[in-house]
Amino acid sequence: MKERCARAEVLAGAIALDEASAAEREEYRNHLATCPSCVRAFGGEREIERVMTRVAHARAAETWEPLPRRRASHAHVIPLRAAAIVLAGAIVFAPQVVAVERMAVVPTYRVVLARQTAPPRPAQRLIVVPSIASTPIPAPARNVAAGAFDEPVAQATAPASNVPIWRRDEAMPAQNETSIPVFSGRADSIVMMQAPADGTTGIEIAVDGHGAPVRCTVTKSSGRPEVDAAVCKAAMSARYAPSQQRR
Amino acid sequence: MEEAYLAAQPAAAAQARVDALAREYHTKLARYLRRMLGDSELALDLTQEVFLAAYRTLQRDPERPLTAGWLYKTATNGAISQLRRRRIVRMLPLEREGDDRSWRIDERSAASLDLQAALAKLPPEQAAAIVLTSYAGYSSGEAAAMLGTTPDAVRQRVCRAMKILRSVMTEYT
Repeated sequence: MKERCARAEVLAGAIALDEASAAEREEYRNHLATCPSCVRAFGGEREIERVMTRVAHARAAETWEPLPRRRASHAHVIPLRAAAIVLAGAIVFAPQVVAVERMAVVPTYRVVLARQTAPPRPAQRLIVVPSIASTPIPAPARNVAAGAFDEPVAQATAPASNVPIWRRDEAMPAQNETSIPVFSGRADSIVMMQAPADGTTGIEIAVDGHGAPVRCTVTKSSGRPEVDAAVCKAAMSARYAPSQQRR
Repeated sequence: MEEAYLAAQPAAAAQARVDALAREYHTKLARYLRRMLGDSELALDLTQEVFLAAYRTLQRDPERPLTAGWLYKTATNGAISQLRRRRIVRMLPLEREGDDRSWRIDERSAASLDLQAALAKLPPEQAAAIVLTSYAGYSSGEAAAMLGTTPDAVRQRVCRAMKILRSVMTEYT
């Protein structure tokens, strides 16, 4: 009996997906005639179709066009350590990366994009990968508002990984998997734009209780709005250690 | 120097292909993942990761054809491991439990609420089976390839998901 009911589940599924042949529908009806518990659990063909209409209606009601990110109601500010990779489709020199520097007082990190040694060609692209991530993010400081960011961030557990903190003037490793900085095994974001890459951007990221970024504030512009925007955009699509502040 | 120039070419080509994929599938994948996870932020996150994975794959192997099936498979694996990791399944059944951030007013139809309430009760594999088929529009055969199982197993999962959805519908009406 059990085997037959397992078979009936497959048949009911086929009916639900409108994939059942006439013979399969017949087989299902025959099983229902002998099996009250399947009748109770799944119902007849009409009933299956009625239930599945629900899914179709739910699908029809879907209007989400996901581009903008939503904002959360509670947040605190954590400093972002971000690195940016300049990936150029048409640059003669291997692009160089990027220093991650912590600025002294303000809870801010610099994003230093590499200087290019060859004149950029028009079609180049900039990919910014926030590398929250060269070391794991520390649990956010409790008294953020008081500006308690001077404790060394790097005292969080040592990076398990192969993801180095890049230094300025060090050639970027080949663009393979290990060169993409990750946070908890995840790389965070790719943002594309056409822009020459050169400069320093300081940013602050506000993070909610789920680790979702709420707000990106440019605290020091690189002098190029498009680079600032790319850094912020990348930072906003990353995930962070959740805020531990209560609302 | 010349080598660096050449090395940069596949990256650009991979980027172009990922761009094209993203234009076509970003919304679809995000919607699929939002249903699975019940959380739009998380869905957007995972969607990003799918395209990042595509990008890396194409960098390693520029010839590899990446299909919708590959994208959905990657998305599904991501969603399932996400759900498992959380243990406490956070598929919020819309407004009945007060998730007002992920779903706009006009999306909170009774049908949508029912579906989400049912999905929240289901094991991830069953949720994936019903969403991939009747929601995303794939056949049981295609869904089976994405989930790494057989068409009959997909049908069985759909049936069990449907059973839960049916019980949810009677519960609230």
